[in-house]
Amino acid sequence: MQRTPPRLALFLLRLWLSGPSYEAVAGDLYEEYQDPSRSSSWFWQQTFSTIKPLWAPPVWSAVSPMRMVRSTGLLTLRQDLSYSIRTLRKSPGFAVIVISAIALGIGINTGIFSVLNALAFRPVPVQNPDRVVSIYQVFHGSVNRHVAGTESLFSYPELKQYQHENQVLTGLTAFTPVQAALSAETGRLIQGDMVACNYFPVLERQPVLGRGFTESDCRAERVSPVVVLGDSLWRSQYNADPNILGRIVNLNRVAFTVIGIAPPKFEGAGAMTSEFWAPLTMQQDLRNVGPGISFLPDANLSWLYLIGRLKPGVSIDQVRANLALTASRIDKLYPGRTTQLTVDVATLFGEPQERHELLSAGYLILAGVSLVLLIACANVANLLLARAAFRHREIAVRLSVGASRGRLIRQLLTESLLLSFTGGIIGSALAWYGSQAAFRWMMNSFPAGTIPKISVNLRPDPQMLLYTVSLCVLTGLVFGLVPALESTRIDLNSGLRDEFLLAGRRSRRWLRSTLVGAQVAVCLVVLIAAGLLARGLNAAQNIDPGFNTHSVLSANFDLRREGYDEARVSAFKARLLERTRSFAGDGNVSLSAMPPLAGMAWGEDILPEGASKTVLPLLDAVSPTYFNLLGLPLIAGRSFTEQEVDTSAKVAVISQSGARKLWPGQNPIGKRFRFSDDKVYTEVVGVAHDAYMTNLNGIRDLFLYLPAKSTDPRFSVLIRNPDIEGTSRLLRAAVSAIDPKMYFELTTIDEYRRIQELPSRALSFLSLVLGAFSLLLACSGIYGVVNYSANHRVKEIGIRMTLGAHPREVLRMMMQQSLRPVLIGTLIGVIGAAAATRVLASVLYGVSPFDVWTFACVILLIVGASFIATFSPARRATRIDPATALRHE
Amino acid sequence: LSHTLAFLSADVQSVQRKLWTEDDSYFYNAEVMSDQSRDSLGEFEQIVLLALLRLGDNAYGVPIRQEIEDRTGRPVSVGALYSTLDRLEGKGLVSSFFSDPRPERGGRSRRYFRAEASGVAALERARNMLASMWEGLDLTKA
Repeated sequence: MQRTPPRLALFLLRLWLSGPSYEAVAGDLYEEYQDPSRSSSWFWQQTFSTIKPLWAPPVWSAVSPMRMVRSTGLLTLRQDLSYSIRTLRKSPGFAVIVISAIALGIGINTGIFSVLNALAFRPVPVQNPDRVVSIYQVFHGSVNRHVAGTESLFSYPELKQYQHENQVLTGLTAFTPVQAALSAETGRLIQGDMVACNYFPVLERQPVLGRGFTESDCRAERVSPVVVLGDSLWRSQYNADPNILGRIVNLNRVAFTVIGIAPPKFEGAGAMTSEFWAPLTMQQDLRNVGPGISFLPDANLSWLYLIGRLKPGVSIDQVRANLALTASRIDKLYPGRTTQLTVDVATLFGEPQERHELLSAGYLILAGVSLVLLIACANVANLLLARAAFRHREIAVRLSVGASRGRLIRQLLTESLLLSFTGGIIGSALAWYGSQAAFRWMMNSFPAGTIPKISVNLRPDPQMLLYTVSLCVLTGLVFGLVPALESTRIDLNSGLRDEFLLAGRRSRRWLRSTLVGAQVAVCLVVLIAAGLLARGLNAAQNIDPGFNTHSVLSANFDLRREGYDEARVSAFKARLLERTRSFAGDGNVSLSAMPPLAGMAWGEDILPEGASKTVLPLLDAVSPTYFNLLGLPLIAGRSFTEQEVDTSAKVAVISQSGARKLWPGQNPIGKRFRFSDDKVYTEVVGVAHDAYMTNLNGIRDLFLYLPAKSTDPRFSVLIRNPDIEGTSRLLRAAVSAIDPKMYFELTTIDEYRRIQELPSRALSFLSLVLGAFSLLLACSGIYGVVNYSANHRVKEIGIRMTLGAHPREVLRMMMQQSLRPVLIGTLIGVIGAAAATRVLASVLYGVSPFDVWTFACVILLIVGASFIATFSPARRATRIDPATALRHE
Repeated sequence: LSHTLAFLSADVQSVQRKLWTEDDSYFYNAEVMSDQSRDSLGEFEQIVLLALLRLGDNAYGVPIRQEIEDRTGRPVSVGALYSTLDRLEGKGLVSSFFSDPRPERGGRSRRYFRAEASGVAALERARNMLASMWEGLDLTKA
């Protein structure tokens, strides 16, 4: 297999060398790079040694595009650059303001992009990643598919068939993420992948110690309990023990033999960080869904992520065509179904649905931060225009001694680009540190065990570089082009004298007003979005979930992971309940299938008695004390009895609006329904108040509470006690007294609630920062414009006042003229905001996207701030002494 | 005013020319240098030409560098090698041609070099020049 050299280096070579030179040099380097002892740093060294002479002419004499540039443009570019640096040095204050505005604008932008890039665009970290594709399927038509994960995954027999029939991949492999309790050593839950046995060869990442899996590990189910450990787990848990091969590690209390250690920094090909790898054939032990239940024979079960490596010379389109043949062959077994395959270069988020959600959120945020960058550009453009007024004389002189307008524009643009690139470099550096810190903060703010660990690579790559460089160029052009065009359009006759200042060019004044208006408009959109998000967050914090979330501890168990059978499950549960009740009190302990507000849901179709269509309610299995413990009021009927729980009686408590939906206008107590796979009817014995049981986004109107079964291996123990710390300690002691190796998660309902609020919290924080930043920029822009016109209309104002104008009238005139663009901008901004904020609706928690209160406040804020920014320079204008003003020249 | 302008423009022009020559001097010297060295060969140029002669038909980038590194013990960067080869080709001392694309180079061609008769002659001259300078000289006495 060939090693591919760093693509960025090849790109640089291509940029610098002419076609034939590139062919020879890149070819030589490529050929030598095949020697495994050559590192990529060697390649970079060679690349720089090749292009370095081209930076500093003139040793290299090959015909290259750079040489042509050098003979024509480069010299002037150098002149322009050094001239720009000199001019900017003369006005350091201006340079600092511009560069920091641009640095912030570009920095925030690249920071957001780097996270999005790492998740959605960067190829997975394997050898030659651009030849590795991920495969997903999307079903159309009538689909009845079993799902463990998401629907777009594959079943084991499908994997076999694709492996067997494809002619375009050197290898096709599969993995599926799994969590396992590392039980013997610590009560720690680790993430890993169950993988097909050709996993490591296809990814070209062989274990550095020991071996990978072989076909014999996968020949039958449960024959080969072997595991490859991740480098970080090996170091943290086993002190990098070199003799670890052959040692026994207990995963979910099943003994696995360590056969290899994965290469450092290799954490799997999926979004979740993998710490170990085991064969797919060990599924019954690692992902135990019930005794004797195997995922492997089920041809209609989605649970495997597929990735493959392209054969040399095969394009992705050929792969799509070839695999589609197999897909259509499989479709024949499922009449009415058509499968569409998604084949793309593998990235961390390739699953079509997830990718769509991630990208739409990401693009939305990018659009927001780009608006802020736009404000910064408008601001800088304004400053440049103001500066152009001071430099008009220089420009007039240069034009009159024969400089062409094009040459001057180029000079001015060089200056803008110098500013934007300096800002961009500083901003990217900030973004690099900032985004890493921000991502870590995000991940750390989730309590351990509640969400899977994701590690992303935020290091700059060619895409990032391209993005940042284009952003810099674009920014420099956006803020530089208009001022450059405008300030070189000078009437030489008046320009060389000082009349220019006096005239206060009409077109330029108009231009500056437009820029102010645009800034205000964009700023308004950002601020309204920020305000709405903050209000939404506030609303989320004030949502009454329908029950009391405070002081409730939730201990979540999954006994399948611990290898318990039904008898041991009920014994464990009984003993645990007995112990917890003894220290917490009978009424303060309850069972449920899942903790409330944890974002988990479970649903099954039911058929109400006498109805012809099934409906899908969400379900929970709880013990009698549940409603009391959570303070969830029962409106009618009763809760379960202990006896009903013990005998698994067919009774249920239904939510208020669920009852209204199923039996409108009737008394729901005593009504019956049955589950679609059940013959026996279940009777409704109580009606509970509506509550947000799953998340804070909305109430699922039809919610059913069933009696908790003593044999359910997945359950949560809820304990109400204000002393969270003490109760946790007692609970841990109780659990370890029963089974010292038991792994469980311990959190509070309030903690779950906080996680629910996290996206809107992060978004509103980001948008508030952006809003404040853009308001600052807009105000400084307004101030600058008014200040400028106050300074440059001294003579005019002097004449007005000599002719009898009252200072108050002058003030009013100045204010009116300055605030007009602000008001027009506000109007446009309101319309823009109304159009833009609709996309935020899903994170606003009940606040209307057209919330009048927010709109009014933001408008007041902007107009007020503009007023203040206008007032002081305008007043200064009225204090002009007419006699001095008329002498002013 | 026009008088002043004319004066000013002359002044600016002279300033610009000065700037130009300052910037250009680097270039200029280099050109002059390579003009002077048209007939004589630098040390590295000699080494490269000798490597071409040693390798014969198999003289392209990779083995040339290998050969030089093996014999002199000095690492040679791709950039330095090609700049010298291009210069030699510019003087007409070597010629080059491209092979067919090859898979081990990611589908790129090899650029083979061959020392021309004038190159061999230049080597000969260089050796004679050095030899005549060495003649009768004993370093131990110096």
